[in-house]
Amino acid sequence: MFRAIRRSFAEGVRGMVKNGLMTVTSLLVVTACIFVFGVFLMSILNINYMTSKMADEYQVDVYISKDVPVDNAQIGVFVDRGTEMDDAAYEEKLKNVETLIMGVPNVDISTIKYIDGATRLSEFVKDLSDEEKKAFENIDASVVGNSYSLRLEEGADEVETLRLLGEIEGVSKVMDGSDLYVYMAQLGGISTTVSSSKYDEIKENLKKEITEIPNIDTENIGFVDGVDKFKDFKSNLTPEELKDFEGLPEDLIPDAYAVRMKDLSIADETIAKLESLENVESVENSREFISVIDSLKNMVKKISVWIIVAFALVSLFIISNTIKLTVHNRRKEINIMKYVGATDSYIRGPFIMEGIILGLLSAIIAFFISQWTYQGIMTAISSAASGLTADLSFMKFGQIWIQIIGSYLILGTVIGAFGSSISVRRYLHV
Amino acid sequence: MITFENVSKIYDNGYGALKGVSFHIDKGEFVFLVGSSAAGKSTIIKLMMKEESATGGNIFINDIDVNALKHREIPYFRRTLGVVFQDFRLLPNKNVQENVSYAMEIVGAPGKEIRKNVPLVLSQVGLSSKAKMYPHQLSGGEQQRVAIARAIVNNPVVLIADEPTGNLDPDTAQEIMTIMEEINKRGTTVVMATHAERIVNDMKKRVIVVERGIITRDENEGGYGYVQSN
Repeated sequence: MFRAIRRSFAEGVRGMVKNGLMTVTSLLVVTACIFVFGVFLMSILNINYMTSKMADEYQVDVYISKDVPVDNAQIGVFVDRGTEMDDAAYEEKLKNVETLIMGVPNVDISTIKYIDGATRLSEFVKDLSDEEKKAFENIDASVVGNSYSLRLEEGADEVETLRLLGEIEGVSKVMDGSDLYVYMAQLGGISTTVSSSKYDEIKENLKKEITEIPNIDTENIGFVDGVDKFKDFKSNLTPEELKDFEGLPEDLIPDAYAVRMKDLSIADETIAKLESLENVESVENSREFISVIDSLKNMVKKISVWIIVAFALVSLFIISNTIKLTVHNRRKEINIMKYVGATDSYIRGPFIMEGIILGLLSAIIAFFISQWTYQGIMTAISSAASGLTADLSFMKFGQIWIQIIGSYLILGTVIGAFGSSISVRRYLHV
Repeated sequence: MITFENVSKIYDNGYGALKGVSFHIDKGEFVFLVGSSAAGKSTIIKLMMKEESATGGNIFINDIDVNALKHREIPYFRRTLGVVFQDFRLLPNKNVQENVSYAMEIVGAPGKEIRKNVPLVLSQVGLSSKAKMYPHQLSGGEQQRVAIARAIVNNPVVLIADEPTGNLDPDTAQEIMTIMEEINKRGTTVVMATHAERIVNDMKKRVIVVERGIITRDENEGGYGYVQSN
C-alpha cells in the first residue's frame, strides 16, 4: 500500500515536470478558480458572522404598563337622558339604541347588557382600596350615566366598530375598557395607575411570563428604567430642543424589559406573543431589520452556490486536460504496462496522484493569495472608514483560516482526483 | 495448453479476419505461425493476449476460458504470458535493468525477488554487462534481448512473439532464435508469428499456416513452404 502510494507520487511528480508549461498553466488556472471560490467563501463567512452578530444584538423592548389592568374589550355605549325627558321617553330611546346596536356589524349580541349609572359606580368602587373608596362617597350616580356594555366579535375592526357605535342616534359617547377606567377614576379624582407595590408585583409577573415564551433568550433579559432613559435622552439635547419637553412627567417613558430571541426567523410569532401578555403597553421592534438580514443571507447563499459550482467545473476541465496530456505522453508506456499485466489501478495511480498534487499545490498557492488579499482588504477598510467598522464587524483572518485552508485542500483533492480519472478512463481499455 | 476451437473474428469495421480457426498446442511446444500480412496471424496473437475478443468459437489458454474473462481479470491472465514485439517496446528513459525489473514491480513482486531474478534473466539473454545502459545505446538485437528478458522474468507459461526478428539482420535474428529455443527447452511454450522463411525452414518446428483467415496447413517439423512473404 505504502509502496504503491510512493510510486504513484514519484511518477506523478515526474509527469508534472515533464508537462512543464502545461503544468504551470493549469496550476495558475486552478489556483485562480480556487481563489474565486475562496472569495465567495470568505464573503459568506463574513456575512454570516455579521448577521449573526447583529441578530445577537437585536433586542425587543417590552414596555410595561403602569395602568391599572382593565378589560379593554369591555366597551361602554352611553345613552344620555337629557334634561327634559320623562321616563317613558327615555325608555323608548334606550330601546331604539339597543336595536341599533344589535344592527352594528361585529358586535357580539349575546354580550349586550344594560348597566345604569349606579351599578357601574358600585362595580367600579368595589375593587378600590379603602382610601380611594372615600373619594367616591359623595359622587352622585346620575353623573356616571346609563350605558350598554358589550364586547366585539373575534377579529373585529375595533376602531371602525367603535365609530359606527358612536354614530348611532341617541348615543352620547363610546368608550373602550381603558377609556372607561380613566373616565370613572377622574370622577373621584383618583390615579389611574397602580400603586408601587402593585407595580412591582406586575413587573415580577411579567418577567416570569416572558421567560415562559419558548423563543426568548432567558439568560439575557434586561430591565430598562423609563425615568433614566428619558433623562439620558434629554441630556443629549440642546437647551433649545429641551424646551419642547418641559413640563412632561419624568415617567413619560414606561419601564421596559429588553429581551433577545434565540431564533430570529420566528420573531413575528414571538413578538405577537409578547404583545398579547397582560400589562404590556407596547412592544418596540424593527421587523424590517430582521427580514433584510434574512433576505441578504439567502441571496448570498444562492449566488455563491452557483458560482462555486461553475468554478469547480472549470477547474475540473483544466485539470483533466492537463492529465490528458500526461496520459497521451505516456500512452506507449501504458500500453507496455498493460501487456505485462499491470492492473488498471496500478496504471491509474500516478495520474490520479498527479491530479491530486496539482489540486493541492493550487490550493496552497490560493490560500496564500487569499490571506494576502484578505488582510489587505481589512487594512484598507479599517483605515478608510474607522466609523464603519464599528458597525460592520469583520472576522479576523485568524478566525477563518482553518475553514479556508480546509475547504481549499478538500476542493483541490477532489477536483484533482476526479479530473484525472476522467481523462485516464478512456485510455485504459486496451 | 492453447486451444482454438472454430474461432472467428470480425472487426467492428466488418472485416472478417478469422473464419473458423481451430488448432491445439501442447505444453512445451515451439510453434511458428506463418502467413502473409493480412492473413490473420496478428489477429490470432491479439486474441491470445485478449487484446481483442473473438466473435465466435472458444479459446482456452492454460485451462482459462479466454472469451469469458472479465475486464478486471485480464491483467492477471496476461501475467501468465510473456510477450515480445517486432518493435521491442522498451521504455526509453529506463536502463536495461530497470526495463526488466519494471515488469516485476508492476505485478507487485517483492524487492528481494526482483534483485535476484533480474540479473538471472539478464545473464540468460547474455546482457549482464549492459545492465546499466539505456535502449538507445544498444543494437537492435540487444534491445530485443532486453524485451525477451522482460517477457520471461515473471516465468510465463507461454511466450508469444510477434515477428521478433522482423527488424533484425539475419545473423542477429539467429542469435535471438537461439535464445528463444533455449527458453523453450526450459519448458516454456513458444508461439512465434513470423515472415522469416529461412528461420522457419532451419528450425524444423511445428508450422501453422494461416491464409485469408483460415488455417491451410499445420504440420510438425514443417517448412515455410509455398507461402509468399508479403
